[in-house]
Amino acid sequence: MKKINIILTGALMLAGLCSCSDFLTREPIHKFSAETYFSSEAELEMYANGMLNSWLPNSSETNGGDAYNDLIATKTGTDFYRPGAHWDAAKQGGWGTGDWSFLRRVNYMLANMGKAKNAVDPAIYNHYEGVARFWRANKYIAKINSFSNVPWIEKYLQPNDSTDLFKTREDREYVFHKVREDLEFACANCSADKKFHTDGRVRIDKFVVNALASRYYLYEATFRQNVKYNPATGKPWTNEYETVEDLLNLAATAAKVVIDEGKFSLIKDYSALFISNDLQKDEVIWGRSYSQDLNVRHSLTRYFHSSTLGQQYSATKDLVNMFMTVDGKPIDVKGGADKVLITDEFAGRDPRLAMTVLGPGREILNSANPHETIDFTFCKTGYMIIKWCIPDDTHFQNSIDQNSLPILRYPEVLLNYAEAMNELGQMTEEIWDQTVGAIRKRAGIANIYPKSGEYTRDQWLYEYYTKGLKNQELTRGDLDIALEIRRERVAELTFEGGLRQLDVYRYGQADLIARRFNNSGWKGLWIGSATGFTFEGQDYTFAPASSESLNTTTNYPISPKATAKDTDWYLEDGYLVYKYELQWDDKMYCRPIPNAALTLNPKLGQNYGWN
Amino acid sequence: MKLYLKRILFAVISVQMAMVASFELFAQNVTVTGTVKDAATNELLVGATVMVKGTTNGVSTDINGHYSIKAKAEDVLVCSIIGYKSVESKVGSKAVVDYALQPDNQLLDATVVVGYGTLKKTQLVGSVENLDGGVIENRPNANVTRSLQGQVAGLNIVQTDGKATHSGSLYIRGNGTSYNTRKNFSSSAAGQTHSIGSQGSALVLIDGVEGSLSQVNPADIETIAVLKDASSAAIYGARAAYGVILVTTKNAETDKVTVTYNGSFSLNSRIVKWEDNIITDGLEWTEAFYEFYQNDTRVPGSSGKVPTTMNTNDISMKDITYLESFRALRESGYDSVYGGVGSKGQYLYYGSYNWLDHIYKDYTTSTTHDISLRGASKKLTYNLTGRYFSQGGIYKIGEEKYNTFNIRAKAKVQVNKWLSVDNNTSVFRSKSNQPMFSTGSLIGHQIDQHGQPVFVPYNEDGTWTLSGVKTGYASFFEGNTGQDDSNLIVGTTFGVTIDIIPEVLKIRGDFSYKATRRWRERYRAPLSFYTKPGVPTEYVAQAGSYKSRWTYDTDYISSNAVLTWTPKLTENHKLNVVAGWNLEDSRYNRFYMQRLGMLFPEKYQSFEMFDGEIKTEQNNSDYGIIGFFGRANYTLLNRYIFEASARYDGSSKFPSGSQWGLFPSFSIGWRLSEEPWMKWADSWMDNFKIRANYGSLGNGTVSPYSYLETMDINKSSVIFDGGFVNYTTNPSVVPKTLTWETVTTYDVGLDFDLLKSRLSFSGDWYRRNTTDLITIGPELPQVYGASAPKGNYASLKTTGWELTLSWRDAFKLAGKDFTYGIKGSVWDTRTWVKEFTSTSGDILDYYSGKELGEIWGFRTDGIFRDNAEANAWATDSYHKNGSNFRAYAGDLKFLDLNGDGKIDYGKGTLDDHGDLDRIGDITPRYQYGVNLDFKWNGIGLSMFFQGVGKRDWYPMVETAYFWGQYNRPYCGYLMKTQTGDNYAQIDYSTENWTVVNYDKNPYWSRRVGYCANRNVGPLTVENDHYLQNAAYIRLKNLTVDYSFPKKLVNKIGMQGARIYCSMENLWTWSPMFKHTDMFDPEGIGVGDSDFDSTSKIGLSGVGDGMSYPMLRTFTFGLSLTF
Repeated sequence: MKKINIILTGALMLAGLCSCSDFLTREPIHKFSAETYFSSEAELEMYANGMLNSWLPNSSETNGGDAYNDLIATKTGTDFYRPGAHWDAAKQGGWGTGDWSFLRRVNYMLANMGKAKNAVDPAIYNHYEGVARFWRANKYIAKINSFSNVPWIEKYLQPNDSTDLFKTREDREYVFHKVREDLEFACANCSADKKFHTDGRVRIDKFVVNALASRYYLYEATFRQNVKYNPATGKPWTNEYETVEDLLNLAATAAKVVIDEGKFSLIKDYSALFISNDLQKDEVIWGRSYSQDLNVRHSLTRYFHSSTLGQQYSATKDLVNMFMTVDGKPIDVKGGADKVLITDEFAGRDPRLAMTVLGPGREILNSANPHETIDFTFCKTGYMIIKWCIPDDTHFQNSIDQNSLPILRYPEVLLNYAEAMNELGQMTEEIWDQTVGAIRKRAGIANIYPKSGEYTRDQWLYEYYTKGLKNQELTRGDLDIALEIRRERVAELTFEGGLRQLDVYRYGQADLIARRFNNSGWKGLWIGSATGFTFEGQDYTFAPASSESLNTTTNYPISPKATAKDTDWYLEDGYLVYKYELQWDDKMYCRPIPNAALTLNPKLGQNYGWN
Repeated sequence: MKLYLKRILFAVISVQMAMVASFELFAQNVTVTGTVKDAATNELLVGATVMVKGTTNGVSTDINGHYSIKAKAEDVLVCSIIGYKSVESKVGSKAVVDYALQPDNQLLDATVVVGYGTLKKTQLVGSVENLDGGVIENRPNANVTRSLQGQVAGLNIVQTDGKATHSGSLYIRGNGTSYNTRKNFSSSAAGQTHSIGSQGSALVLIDGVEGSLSQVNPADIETIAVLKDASSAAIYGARAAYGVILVTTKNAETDKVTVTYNGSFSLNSRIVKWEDNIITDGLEWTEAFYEFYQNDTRVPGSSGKVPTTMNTNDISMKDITYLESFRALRESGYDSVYGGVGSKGQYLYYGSYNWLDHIYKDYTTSTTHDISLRGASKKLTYNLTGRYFSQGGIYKIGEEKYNTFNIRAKAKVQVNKWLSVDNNTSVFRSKSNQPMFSTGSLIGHQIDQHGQPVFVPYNEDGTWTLSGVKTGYASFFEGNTGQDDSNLIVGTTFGVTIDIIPEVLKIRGDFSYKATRRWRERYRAPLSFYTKPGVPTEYVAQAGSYKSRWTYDTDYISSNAVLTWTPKLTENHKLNVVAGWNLEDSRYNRFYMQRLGMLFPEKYQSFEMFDGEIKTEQNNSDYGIIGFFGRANYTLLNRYIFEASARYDGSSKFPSGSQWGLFPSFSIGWRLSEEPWMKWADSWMDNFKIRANYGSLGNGTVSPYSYLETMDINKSSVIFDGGFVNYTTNPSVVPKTLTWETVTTYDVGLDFDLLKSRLSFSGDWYRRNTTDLITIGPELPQVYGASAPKGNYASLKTTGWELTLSWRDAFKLAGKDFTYGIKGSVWDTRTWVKEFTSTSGDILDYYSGKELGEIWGFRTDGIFRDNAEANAWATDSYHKNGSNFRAYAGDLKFLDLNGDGKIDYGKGTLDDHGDLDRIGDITPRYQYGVNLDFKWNGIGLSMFFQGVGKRDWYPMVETAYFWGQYNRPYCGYLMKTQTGDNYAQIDYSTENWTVVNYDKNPYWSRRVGYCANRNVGPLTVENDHYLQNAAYIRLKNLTVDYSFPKKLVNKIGMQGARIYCSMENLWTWSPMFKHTDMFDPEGIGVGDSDFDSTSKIGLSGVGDGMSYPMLRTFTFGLSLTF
């Protein structure tokens, strides 16, 4: 009897345990359930933080984008521009699931944030919708720039949405029109409230959006103006949605919002913008902060001082020649004014030159040398780039930089505005003084309005943008003003955000990338005689290599440093030239649709010229 | 047939007798003769021994079963033969004594541990192997898993290194279903891990509770049962897809108190002494360095490239001035490693420093102490054991330590006739600490990149050099950068057994609770080095120093109720029924905390001593399983065996609609040996059984919550308003379907025992279909923005076989039992992908028809003799050699397999793979183990060989111990096997470069830097020239022991005393030793799970063989029983 009782009790206990249907339901404590997310402002903010955390341009994007253009020498080019590398749809990337994950991320928010509508103040709600749409526009712009025609998708895709998943590509003009809708919503609704940038200027707000919109609109307007057909199809623009004028007006309007409402100004010290730890909030519209204490550091200084890290960038003679003298006049390159040794070259020049390129007298900490010397192991032209560099030898060797990085500065908006107004034919001296003039004044050089009597055209610069180039039409506005704006973009914005490469594309002059010095390479220092020079107490000698096996006309060991002849240096007309051939073909205004994309969706079709 | 076998037996016995005869010493008084026969069959027995009890005097029966022995009247004769029960009889006055021996079916009557119970061996129809605990007891390994390797056919243990805290992964009948490949054929960048289905390994149950073999005291183990096929494992349902290992711990047997002590001391040394196999003369190394570097871009008409600076080291190696100055110093007799400062004020070094020799010790020690107390009385059985194990480090610098404690207490109280209550409580504690390089990168890999022999760790003034810091030497030495791990596992099981009907019906219920508390701490101290006198550079800034602590808590509950019914039926019917219910609940909580900013380098143990940023994380992972199971085993006429079992499982890891799964199995067995018409074979055949079974199992090892749409909360890495913020992202894609993966196995087996169980054989062939593997779904266009949802899409097909053959016997040698045995097992398994969702046919990924582990690569035909030959060869636009896409004299000659006139990889797909071919397979094949042992007069010797019959290995990029300077010209390792005529020496003096030692058939191609490192280097991509044959045979263990005579030990109050010497990994041979002496065949895996990822292969990855070295161990031990 007793035995049976125990057995029964035991059986009941067991039955009691397993009758719990809850037993087979478990939930994580450290995650949100997606079903109920977006119920408050805090949750909208957290989601927006995530997009920013992933997509805020980082240190290599703020400078690395400028690696491949006409004015910056690199040790090796990308295969895209290399003759013989046979770029094709097999080598092309940029169309992986990761490249399109932004769509899921943005569209998820747009599809689900409605849940917060009743719980959040409408202005705040619209601000976050604007932020999401800004990011979608931002990401689409990059896709348009690469592939021109792309599919436009604005819903949160499910695996069975085969119509959208397998849709064909839309025309660039349609896609840009949709991007414009996103941008306009963001420009109108993103908040100007100071609470979004209490410390630093990292969050997306009204001014970040408008400033970038001015860049995007201007780019698209001038690209259509100068590259006269859609590179994806080879057919002329239809202007079905926006004309060039429409886009220029949009650019000007967006820039004007920043100028009129943003309360930004040009700070006094140009170089402080790039090498100080604190973000210069008066001038920087969008920027990224670093901190030794938080162990968030970057390695730009090392990037520009290493033969293994980065692309071994250096500035070219052409870049240097674009800097004026302090009296606001160009140097007479055609007259041979650039045939000076580097030791003399910086005297009397736009002070920004010495803040961009290494000149004499740059003091350097923790080094055996009191002044920085040229290191030919990574500097291919003799012009070392120092714009982002901390003058400290320990930074040259270690990834320990904590200087904040501006991603977008007020002067770009001024220049965008000036250019849009000039292209619209509405440039005035007043606008000039507010924009280019103000920037030159801050830099410490004289402001001369190109329409004034004092002005003389820089013939060298004119030829730089016309001689031997396919597109010789520089502007629909005033030529001199256009030339000076181009000059100013180089002097003020070099190595910021990859703008130069974008510029030569939108000028319809990407053949500049291949053309450079007699189509053969990057022109560097003027040496004059082939024996050498002295810089900061360091003797540099140049001599044709003596070995019989060498082609003595094209191999110049430079000592000390860099006897490396990984490719060739040669001297021509007293200039040191780093020989490196690149190619350009107009089909390269857009990239091929990668094979991997076509395999999964053949309806995408290939771009013009890439079949 | 019968006669034939008898003769073999006689031949064997004659040899034994010849040995015995020589020990005959004493003349006797009476001659006793007689015959010995089988009591059941009346057959005469050949080779039975008749001994005078207590002496060494004995004889054997001849081929007619006859014997003759001299003895005294008062003597007792003992007649024995293996397979029969011994008989004793007093001599007295009898002159003729005939013996009729009863067969002793001890082996066949033995019980075998199976799921939730035991069965007689004769009733067994599944593929189950029981291993006696003695096999592993005195193996001087840090954990049981290592000792199990090679012992059981079909049990594959994947070992990647020799670290005491690491044990191998256990797979039964297969290997893991994931493998690493390069990313693609145009990039060596970090490779990819491809996995198909949810991973998993064998389920290990220790006294019925899920646990880990590495946490069991080896001395506690009574048996290890390996349930290999689906029919035997089906009772464990959804957790048994990779097989089940049941560990049963010892119980007290006698009614007296027994105390056992076992202590041992071991010397451990590294099997491969890397430091002995590399060139460490600085000048010789430097010369090779320049040769490799210059050849990087050497093309006809140019002088090639000379290094600008040695990567990240501040010693300038530009042009050849460094080499020349080194030569000049050497000639002038200068022998200091310090060369003052160079033009930039930085230190110069001219060393010949053997970094590895300064880091690794020649040997380290370990000790074990085991103590056990056992006893039993009518009411109470108890068992108390304890173990302490400690092992020291292998580093000369930096403290490394590992120790463990085990305690187990078992007791069983017989409350009354029908009720017993038991408890089994165990405690496991382990602690380890090890030094670490500041990033966690492995030290072997750091030395490869920064430990060139020309550098030294210290400057003349004692400050750290850059190399000293970057090799990890400094952080090892300082001791304040490292990792500590602790484990505490406490488990207890309460059980109640009720004999409802004695010996017929019983029910057992148990409840177990196990708490696992694991924590890990990591710390990194600030560190500076000096490249210039007086100018320190921070390598790890104070702000970048940290202490991290991870805490992992698991609370695990399991409960079982099992009813066993063994009705007493007639002799012709036997039934064994088991039915039960099982519940498991696991709750896991992980907590992580990190604080930056170590204030005092010598006080880093507490978070108080840090002042920087604090980071914390917490997450959980819970699951519950409920299962109902049953098994019925029915034997008809002692020869037809039928078994069916099933389990119905529910798991919280799956969505409610697919939580439950049913896993049935059916088996039949036929003991032919019991058939009446087989009577003729009775005299020599004890058992002959054919088995066949079918069963299905489930695999539910997916991570919990994977079907829920959830959003992670993360901390930003971008600084917002002066600090970090939280963020979320869109939920990850949830699987389209999520349910069990199903493993269906068909198995046929054959067992036989012959010659009174002297000879035993067991063989199995199986076919396994794994269906509904959880894998990535059909690819969606990239605009979907995420990988396609996973689902139960893929399937695999596995076939394999296992053979085990053993022979054991005993005879008298000089009057003492000489027992010996030999057991050999060999097995194989192969797996193919049957269905896979991706249709791209990417040969690096899965595709339908792929065999797991296959290696794709180029085929080669030696090297080019000269440039002329290379120029005339098929165009190679794929391999980049130096800076050019072409080959020269001394470079590998790749075969144009598809005959299109060029060497390439096509699209890298199954349809278009260019000249790529399947050149090998990484899967270990034909694994085997051989045990040999004998025991005589207290002396024992056992040997255990283990090996792999076939395995290929292509050393991945960054495997610097293999490639040396072919990987990076500045690599610190130049192997002795890469010098002299072992590499293609080139005469560069004419345009037509020529290999001067071509007739010596050099293994290594022309010295070109980066040719095993750049994306498409000729050595980077797999080819059959450098494919290594990683098969091996290893004398895994050799033990010699001596048990002191009982009489002697009894005198000093002991019951037994034994001393032994055991040697682990004593000898190894592998075909790959022909080309490399830097690898142990069991240590070629990538990474170390403590630090660098074990899947990070490819450029900037970890490199094979950099993990903790495999050890060779010599152990001296003492075992005492009181």
